[in-house]
Amino acid sequence: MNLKNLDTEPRRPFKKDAPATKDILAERARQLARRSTGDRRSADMLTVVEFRMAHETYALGLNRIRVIHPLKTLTFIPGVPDFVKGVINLRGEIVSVVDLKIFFELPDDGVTRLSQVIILSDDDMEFGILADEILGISEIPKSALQTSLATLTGIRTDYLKGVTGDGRVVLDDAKLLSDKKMCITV
Amino acid sequence: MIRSISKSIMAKLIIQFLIVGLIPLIGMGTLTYYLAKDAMKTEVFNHIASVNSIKKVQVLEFLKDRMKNLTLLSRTQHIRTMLENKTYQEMSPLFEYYMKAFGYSDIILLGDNGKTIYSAAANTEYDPDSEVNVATEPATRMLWDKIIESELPTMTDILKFQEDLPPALFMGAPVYTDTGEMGAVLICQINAARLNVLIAEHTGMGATGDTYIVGADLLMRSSSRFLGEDIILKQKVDTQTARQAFKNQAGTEAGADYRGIDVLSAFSHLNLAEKIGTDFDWAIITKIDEKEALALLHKLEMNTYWGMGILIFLVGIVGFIQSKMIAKPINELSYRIVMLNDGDFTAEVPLTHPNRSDEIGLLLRTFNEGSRKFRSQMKNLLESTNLLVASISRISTTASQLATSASETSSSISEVTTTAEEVKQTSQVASEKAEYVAQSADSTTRISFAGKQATENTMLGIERIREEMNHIAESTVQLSSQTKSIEDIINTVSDIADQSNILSVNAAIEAAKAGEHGKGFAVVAQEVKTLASQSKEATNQVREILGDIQKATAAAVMATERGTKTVAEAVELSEQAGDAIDRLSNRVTESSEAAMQITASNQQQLSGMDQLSQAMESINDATQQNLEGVKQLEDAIKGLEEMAKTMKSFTASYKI
Repeated sequence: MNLKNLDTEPRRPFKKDAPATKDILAERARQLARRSTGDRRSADMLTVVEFRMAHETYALGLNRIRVIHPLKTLTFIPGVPDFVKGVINLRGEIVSVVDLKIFFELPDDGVTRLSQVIILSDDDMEFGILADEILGISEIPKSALQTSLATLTGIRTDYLKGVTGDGRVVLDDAKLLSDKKMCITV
Repeated sequence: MIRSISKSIMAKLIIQFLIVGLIPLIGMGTLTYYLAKDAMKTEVFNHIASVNSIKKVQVLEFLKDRMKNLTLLSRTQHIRTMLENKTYQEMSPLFEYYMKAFGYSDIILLGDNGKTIYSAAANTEYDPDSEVNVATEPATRMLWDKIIESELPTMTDILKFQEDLPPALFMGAPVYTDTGEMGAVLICQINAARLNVLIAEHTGMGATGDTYIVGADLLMRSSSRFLGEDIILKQKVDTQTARQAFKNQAGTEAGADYRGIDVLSAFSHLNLAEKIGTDFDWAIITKIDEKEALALLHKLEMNTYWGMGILIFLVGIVGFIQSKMIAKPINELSYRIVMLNDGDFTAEVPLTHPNRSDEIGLLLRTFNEGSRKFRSQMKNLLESTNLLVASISRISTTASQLATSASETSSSISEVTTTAEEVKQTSQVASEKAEYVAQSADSTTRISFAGKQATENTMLGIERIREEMNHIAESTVQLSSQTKSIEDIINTVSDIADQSNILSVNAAIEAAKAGEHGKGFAVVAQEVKTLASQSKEATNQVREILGDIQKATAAAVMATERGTKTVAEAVELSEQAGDAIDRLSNRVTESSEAAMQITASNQQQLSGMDQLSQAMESINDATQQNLEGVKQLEDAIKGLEEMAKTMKSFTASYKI
C-alpha cells in the first residue's frame, strides 16, 4: 500500500450516517415502549442487573446490590478458601471479593477478564462478586423463570431463583448473602 | 522361352525316371501276385487233400472194424447156444455192451425165414410167424436176401427205412448152428449220426472247411456243417466234383459246390465194393470256400497295391530331385550363355554344390572360370579405355582452363595496374584522413574529460537524494510513534466509556432503590449508558482508521527502503560510467598516436607503388604471348576429344 492509494480509499465517517441513526432512535423508542407496558404489572416483573461470567449470562435482583465497581487493585489474603480472591478498597471501605465460579465449582477454562465487582450487601453481610462484563439493567417476568432444569448441576442449583427461556441464570441474592459458607471464621 | 525349355527338360527326365522305375515294378508285382496265388492254391489243395484222405481212411477203417466185430460176434458159441435154446433175454447184457462199445443203435436177430425174432435195443422177442413187420424189416429183409445168397457178411447203404426214424445203415453176418447150417442172420444197425461224428471234425479247416460223403446217386450220406443233419439222403450234390470223384478215384478241383459257392475241393472214391464187398459205393469230398482260402492272397494283393503306390511316389521324388540336379545347372548355364551373347560379361553360374565332381560340375566350374578370365580381360581393356577417355577430357578441361586463366591473368594484370594507381591515390587520401583523425582525437580527449566531470556531479546529486530519503524514513518512523500515542489516548477514552457504562448501571441501581422517585433518574442513567456505548463505538472506529494509518506508514517505510537501495545502485552505476569515460579517453589518445604512424607508413607505400606499376607492364607483355600458345593447344586437344568419344560409345555396349 502506498500513500496515493490511501488517499483514494473512502474514509470511514466518524458519525453514523442518517439511516443508522434512525434505526438507533427507533430501537430506543421500542425499548421505552416495552418498559411502559412492564409498569402496568411491575409486581410480576423482576428488575435485574445482567452480567457475564465464564461465558454465561447471570442476573441478580437490584434490591441487594450496593454498587458496581471496576476491579482495579485486588489484595490477596492468605489463609482463606479458594473462592475468596482477596479484598478491595471501596471508597475507604475494605470489602472481600468472591469468585462465584470457584464457589459454584464450575470448570475454570481460564479465559475470563474478571473486570467488574458487584457489591452485594444487606444489614448483616457485604461482599463483592467478580464479573467479566456488565450487560445492563433489564426486567424479567417472574412467570418466565423455570426453577428446575436438568442442565443445571452442582452447588449453584441451591442459589438459584430460576432460569429464563433464553438461558439467563437468575441468582438468589438473599440466599448468597445469608449463606454460612461465606462467613469465614478464623 | 528359357523357362519353358527348362520345364520340358525336367519333365522329360521325370517321365523317364518314372518309366524306368515303374516297368520292373509293375512286372515284378504282377508276376509275384500270380506265382503267390498258384502257390497258395496248391498249398490249400494239398491241405484239403490230406484231410480228405485221412477222413477216407477213417471211414473205411470204421466200417471194416464194425463188420469184423459183428462177424466175430456171430461166430461165438454164446450166439449159437442162444439160438438153440432161444434164451435171447439172457444174452441181453452182452448185446448192450456191444451196442455201447461199437456204437450200434441196435442188434437184431433174423430167423431163418427172414423175419425179426429178437431186437436188443427193445430187448423184445418177436414171433417169426406173425404177419406184422418190425419197423426195420424193409431194410433187414434186403440184407437177409443178400446174405442167404452169398453166405458172407455184408452191409447196406444208408437207408431211410422209415419216415420218423433217423437214417441208418445195417450190417449183417450169418449165424451157423453147430450142425453147420445157417440158422439166423445177426444184424447191427448203425445210425448215420455215428458216421457223422467221424467226419464232422473240422479242426484246421477254418470257418468254411467241410467234409461230406456222397453216394453214387449224388445224394448226401452225411450231414453238412452248414445245413445240419436233415439233409442226409435229401440234398443232391450234382456237382462236377462229385461226378469226378466217382470217375477218377481221387483229385482236387476248383468250382461251385452244391450251394453254388466257389470252393476248392478234394475228393476221393471210397471203393467200398472192392474193400468191403458192398453193392454200392461212396465218395468223400472235402472242400473250403475259395474266398477264405485265398483271403491271404487278397491281403497280399492290397499290400502290393499299397507298396506300389509308395514306390511310385518315392520314384517320383527321387526322379524329381535327380532331374533337378541335372536340369537346373544346364538351364542356368544356357541362360548365362545367352547373357554372354548379349554382351553381359557378368554371367556366372551360381554353384549350389561347389564340390560337385561329375561332368556337370566340371562344366559349370570351367564356364565360370572362363567367364571370369574373359571378364577380367575385358575389364582391363575397358578400364584403360575409360582412363584414356577421362585423361583426354581432363586434358581438354585443363587446356580450356589454361586459356581462360591466361585471359583472366591478362585482364587481372590490367586490373592490378589500375588498382595500383588507385591505391596510390587512396594512400594519399588515407594520409590526409590520418592527420584529421589525430586532430579529432585531441578534441575527443577534451570532451571525455568534460564527461567525467559531469558524472562526478551526478554522483553528488544522487548523494543528496539519499540524504533526503533518510529524512523521509525518519519522518515516517516519527509518524508511527505518534500513531502509537493516539492509540493510547483512544484506549483511555474507551476506558472512560466503560466506566461511564458501569456508572450508568450504578445509577440505574440507585434509581431502582429510590423507587417511584428514581424513575426520572433511571431515564437519565439509560441515556448515559447509550452515550457510553456510542463513545465506545466511536473509539472502535478511530482504532480501525488508526490501523489503516499504521499499515500505510509501514508501506511508506518499505518504499523508502527500496528508494534508498535504488539510490545506492545509481551511485554505483555513476561510478562505472565515470570509469568508462576514463578508459575511453585513454583509447582516444592511443588512436591519435596510431594515426600519426599511419601517415608515415603511407608515404613509404606511395614510392613502392610506383615500382609496382613498372613491373606490371612487363608482365602484361609476357601474358599476351602465353595466350596465343594456349589457343593452339586447345585446337589439338579438340581432335583428341573426338577420338575419345568414339571409343567411349564402343565400350559402353559391354556390361562387366
